[in-house]
Amino acid sequence: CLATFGENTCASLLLWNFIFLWNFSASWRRNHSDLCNLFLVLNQVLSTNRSQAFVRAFLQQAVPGLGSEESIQGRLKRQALKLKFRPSGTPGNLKKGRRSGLRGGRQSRGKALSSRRRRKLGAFKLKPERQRYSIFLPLHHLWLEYIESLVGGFKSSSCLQTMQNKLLKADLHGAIVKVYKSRCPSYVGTCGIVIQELKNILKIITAEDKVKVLPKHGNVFEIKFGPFSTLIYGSKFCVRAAERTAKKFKTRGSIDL
Amino acid sequence: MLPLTEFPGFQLVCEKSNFSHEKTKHQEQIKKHYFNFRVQLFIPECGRLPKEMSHLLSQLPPYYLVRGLPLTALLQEDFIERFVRRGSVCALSYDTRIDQDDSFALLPPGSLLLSLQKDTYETLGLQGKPSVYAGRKPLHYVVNIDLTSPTFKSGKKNYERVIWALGENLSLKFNVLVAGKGSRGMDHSLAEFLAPFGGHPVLPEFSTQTVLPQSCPTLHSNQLAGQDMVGCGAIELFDWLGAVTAGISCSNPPDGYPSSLGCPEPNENIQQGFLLNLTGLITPETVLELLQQVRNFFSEPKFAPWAALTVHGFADVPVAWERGEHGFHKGGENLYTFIVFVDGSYWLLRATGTQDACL
Repeated sequence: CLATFGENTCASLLLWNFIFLWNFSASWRRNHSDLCNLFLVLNQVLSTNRSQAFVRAFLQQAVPGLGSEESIQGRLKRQALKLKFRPSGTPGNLKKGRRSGLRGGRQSRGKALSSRRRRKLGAFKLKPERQRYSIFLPLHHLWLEYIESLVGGFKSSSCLQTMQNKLLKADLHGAIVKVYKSRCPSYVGTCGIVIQELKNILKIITAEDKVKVLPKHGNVFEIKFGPFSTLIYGSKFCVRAAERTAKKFKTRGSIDL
Repeated sequence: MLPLTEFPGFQLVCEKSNFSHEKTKHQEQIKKHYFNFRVQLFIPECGRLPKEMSHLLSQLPPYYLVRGLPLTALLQEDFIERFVRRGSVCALSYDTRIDQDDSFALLPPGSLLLSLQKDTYETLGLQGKPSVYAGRKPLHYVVNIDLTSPTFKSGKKNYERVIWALGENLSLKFNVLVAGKGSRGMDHSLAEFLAPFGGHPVLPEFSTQTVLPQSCPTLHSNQLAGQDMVGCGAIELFDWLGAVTAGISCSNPPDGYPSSLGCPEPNENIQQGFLLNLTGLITPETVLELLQQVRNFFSEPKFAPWAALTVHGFADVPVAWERGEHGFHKGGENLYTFIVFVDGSYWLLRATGTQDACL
């Protein structure tokens, strides 16, 4: 009976029955002593309230941060949280499997955002109030320190060739570049701090707080660091910054723009 | 491969007119040819320098040679105001080859033309056009700066950019020949202006000689193309004239192996000829005055049937005639000859090299 109906229901039914019989028949009482024993058992069962009280007190002692009564009850009810998990092979998903995979943002877990997505999110958009040359000057000083540590100090005895090779693989964000020569004469003389380097362009901010986009192709950039200055032919430099570290640059006698 | 008939060659343009004709263009043609380095005058049957010329030659204005003049000196506002806008000045880079070095020219109308090599042009930072005579991959560029433009003054972007490019970015210096004068009414002279840069005045040199060509072609002023028994054609005359002024004998019959040049038919015997040679940076105004004196020479009756005034331009000049670009292909000649006749008519023969726009 207990097993079928659950503790509390069974107990209360039996109790109610027993109270009815107890009240209306003394002879029943004498004949059913075993039921008395059952009553005692029921009494014990009904004192599950006591066990509940014990559990409550125990939890409050052991885990103080549980909170109010309702939250404890909620936790004791043990509601399961269903996480969003739809493997593509499950029978319910076979029809919509492909579509649900492609749409809705992430193409697949673990890959970076596509450039279209990045552009939509505005991952690199400089607000007008942040377009200040003075804000990027500390970045330039950081870059100078970085280059100094990369090259091993600005010494007069340092080998220029190794310095040049290291600079070709270095990151240019924060460098002050100037266009020394260009196929289009209007670019010549543009000078500023590099704020972004992409595959084919360099975005710089000039001293007049203007963001200018310089194509790498057809331009020769002059970069000054410490007492040294170097010329970089942009036409041969049209690679992403990350891939530049692995690229080997050939030395040529003279390069035509 | 171009077929032989289409190969670009030299040009000789012949015209005839009269000085008193209302549509005569002789003044225009002389004024358009800015940079002249030699003037030659040949008068057959004349023994000595005509007196009209001697007075003029003694009063020739000097030109100036400045070594290492920075181009920004010609861009100073007071220079532009005094000499370019109100006066008339021409300047040319000296000792630079048009096809191999950077050169420049300042034209009297007020344009500063820079003829630059590819590397210089890419480093300078001023917008220009590739040379008309450059092929697909130009190695030569021309930058044109208009100095008389009302917006070309300090404070404006264009002016500041030009000053920056020619001064701070790539300070271009040339050896310069300058000639001209400042505005009238004010006693400003080029000498005053160029003295701080080390410019000194140079007088044009002239020499006279008597030549003995033995015979000279007969010309009829109406027959430009020549006609048998009447007069010589302009083309043959031009060849003969070049030979005489170069000192090559053109005896008839020709000398045989050394020279096959002979005097064209029909010709007449003459005793002597007078040759005047004037060299230096000669302005178009001087040439006009010389031509006027030649016309005055014929105001009195003379033995000479005609006179030839030849003006040679610099071979390495960015612009020969007005604004036509000039290049040096196999030669950079650009010259014109006035054949002045007794009756006031004239022939104008203009000769150019391969890379020239003779309009």
